[in-house]
Amino acid sequence: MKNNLPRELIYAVARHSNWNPAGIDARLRSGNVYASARNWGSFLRLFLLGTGASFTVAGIIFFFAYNWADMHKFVKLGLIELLLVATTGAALLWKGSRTIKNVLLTGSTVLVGVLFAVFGQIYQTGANAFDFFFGWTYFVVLWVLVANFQPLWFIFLALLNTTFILYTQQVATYFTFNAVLDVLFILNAAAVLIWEALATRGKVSVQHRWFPRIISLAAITAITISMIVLLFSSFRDDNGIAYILGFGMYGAAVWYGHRIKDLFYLSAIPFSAISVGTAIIIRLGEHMEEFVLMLATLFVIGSITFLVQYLGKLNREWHGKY
Amino acid sequence: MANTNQLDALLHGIAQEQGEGFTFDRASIEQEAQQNSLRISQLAVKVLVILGGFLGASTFLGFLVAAGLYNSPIAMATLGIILLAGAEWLIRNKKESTADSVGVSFNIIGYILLAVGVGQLVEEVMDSGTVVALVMACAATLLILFSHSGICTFLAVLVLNGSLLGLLFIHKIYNGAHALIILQGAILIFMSLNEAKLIAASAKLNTKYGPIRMGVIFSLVITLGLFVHQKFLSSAIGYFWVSGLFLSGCLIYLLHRVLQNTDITNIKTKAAFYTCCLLILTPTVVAPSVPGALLILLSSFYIGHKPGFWVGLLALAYFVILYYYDLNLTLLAKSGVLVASGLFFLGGFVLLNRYLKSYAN
Repeated sequence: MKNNLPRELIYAVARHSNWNPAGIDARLRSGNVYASARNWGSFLRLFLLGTGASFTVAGIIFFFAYNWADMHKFVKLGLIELLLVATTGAALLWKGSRTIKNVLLTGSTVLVGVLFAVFGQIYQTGANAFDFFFGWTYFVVLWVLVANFQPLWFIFLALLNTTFILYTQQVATYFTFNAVLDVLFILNAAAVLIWEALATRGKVSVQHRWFPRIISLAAITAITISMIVLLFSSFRDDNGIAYILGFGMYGAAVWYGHRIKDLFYLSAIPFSAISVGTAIIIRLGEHMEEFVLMLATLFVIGSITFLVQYLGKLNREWHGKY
Repeated sequence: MANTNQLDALLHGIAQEQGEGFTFDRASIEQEAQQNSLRISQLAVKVLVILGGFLGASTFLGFLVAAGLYNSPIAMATLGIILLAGAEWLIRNKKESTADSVGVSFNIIGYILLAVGVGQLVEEVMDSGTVVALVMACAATLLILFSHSGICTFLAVLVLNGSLLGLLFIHKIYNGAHALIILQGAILIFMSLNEAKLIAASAKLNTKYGPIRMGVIFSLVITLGLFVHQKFLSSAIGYFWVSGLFLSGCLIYLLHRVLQNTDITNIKTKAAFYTCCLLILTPTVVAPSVPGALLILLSSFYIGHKPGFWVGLLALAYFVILYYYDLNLTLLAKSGVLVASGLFFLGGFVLLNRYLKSYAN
């Protein structure tokens, strides 16, 4: 879906001319706005590979989730290990497309989790769910690093986040809610920083920015909630670290958004700041509810308006006259 | 965004194709393109404006509650109408980004005030739910027809869908949801396959095409979501195959059009393609959420609309997981079905690869 001719321009011309529908349709196709036969081919290949691999792995998970009373424990474990060796070996020896290699490694990563789950089910080790996720995360690090495949990085980060949350719920129960959010922010923000650093050096494709976008949103959400919650709870919950991290992130992300001319950071970060600002107004005027809530409304509308105006100006400066 | 050279090249190309009869208003095109760069054009900014609108609306509602103004239903309903009309006036008269963001906030607050005000006004004399749904449907229809703002049109489509769903569910006509799905599916496929005709038909349709299509996509996802989460509103929608058959039919028609646009003429290839489509779609006829999400995904891919594509992809992943989760089978049988489906897709991948290689040769 790589657009060469902006759709908006075709729309503007169609609006102010007598351009006929057949001509517009032809231009939407020749201008690469519509998907070409080649685009459909690539999309179908990815779609079939992705769904095929996910359905098969899900089927394997369901197979072992079934209560196999008659199956000997060695057969159960042996079957999973055999599958694990087979998929990893296939990924190692595969000479064709790199995507298939990476999909096979992603399958292996999920199978490691199945192996640990079945092991825990058979031996009833009494381990926490945290131990299970920690083991799973620890044993797939190497594959994640070697493959450098964005969906695999995404699964790895989901595992890391889950491991940490379970750790604070089952082992380190002294962590406050704010501290948990602060660490989650650091974890995800570090991943975004690494991704952006690699993108700057051309080590990862900047065409598919879904990965840093989703992880950035997770990081921004965590620190925004932490800052707002801290306003209404005890400052000692994290000694104000949320504000140091949050304001540090605001500065760095706004600077970086300007540098790479990306409106995503310049929209998401100010929205976080506006949310925190609104919470500060409400917190400061708790005893004058009506006035403060009206003030908060005006603040939100005014700041969003100013921000949109500023972003529009920036967009014009960056991308020319139209 | 385009530059002047791109516009020149485009106009020159059209003039060559269409001949001397091609007339255009270059000043208006340039002015509009320039205005678009100042106004909301990027997805991130649109999302920002909508989220800001909701945040502003929530604090404003807090103010109304704190000030006790909710005690006067007439004032609330009147203020709601004033805000809805005021938002539209602002957007029409101030063609800049300021108007968009303030207008969207007013628009959201206007809907909420109107609904709460009307609800309180009529609650003692008649069924307030029905009246609120009808009033909201009327307000949304008026805004779809006359609003000059893309975001307000998008929100109006969502409000209209919510009102229609509300009417069906209040009166327990749960199976009427099929009519809504059929309407949404038909509008989506019609708009996706006739974009050129629609944007050439009139300036109004041209500006409303994108927001209405996106509104229909979200409405379809929400309505399909209610099919799979019946406990959420204690509904009892039955005869899932009605919507399933219709959406599958729309999908087959869309894929037929896609195939027409390619160079594939071999009858065997076409027969294999349609057979595979039928094999995939047949088990999902009783789960309309899956063909519905597929329709959003593929129709958006067809016209190169990225936001619609991502909404469709996320909806598909969610509905497919629910489909297998809700299957009334043992884990072992589910495992068999999943592995068989997975191998079927992987087989399709291998065959497609071979076909594309032979085609390239």
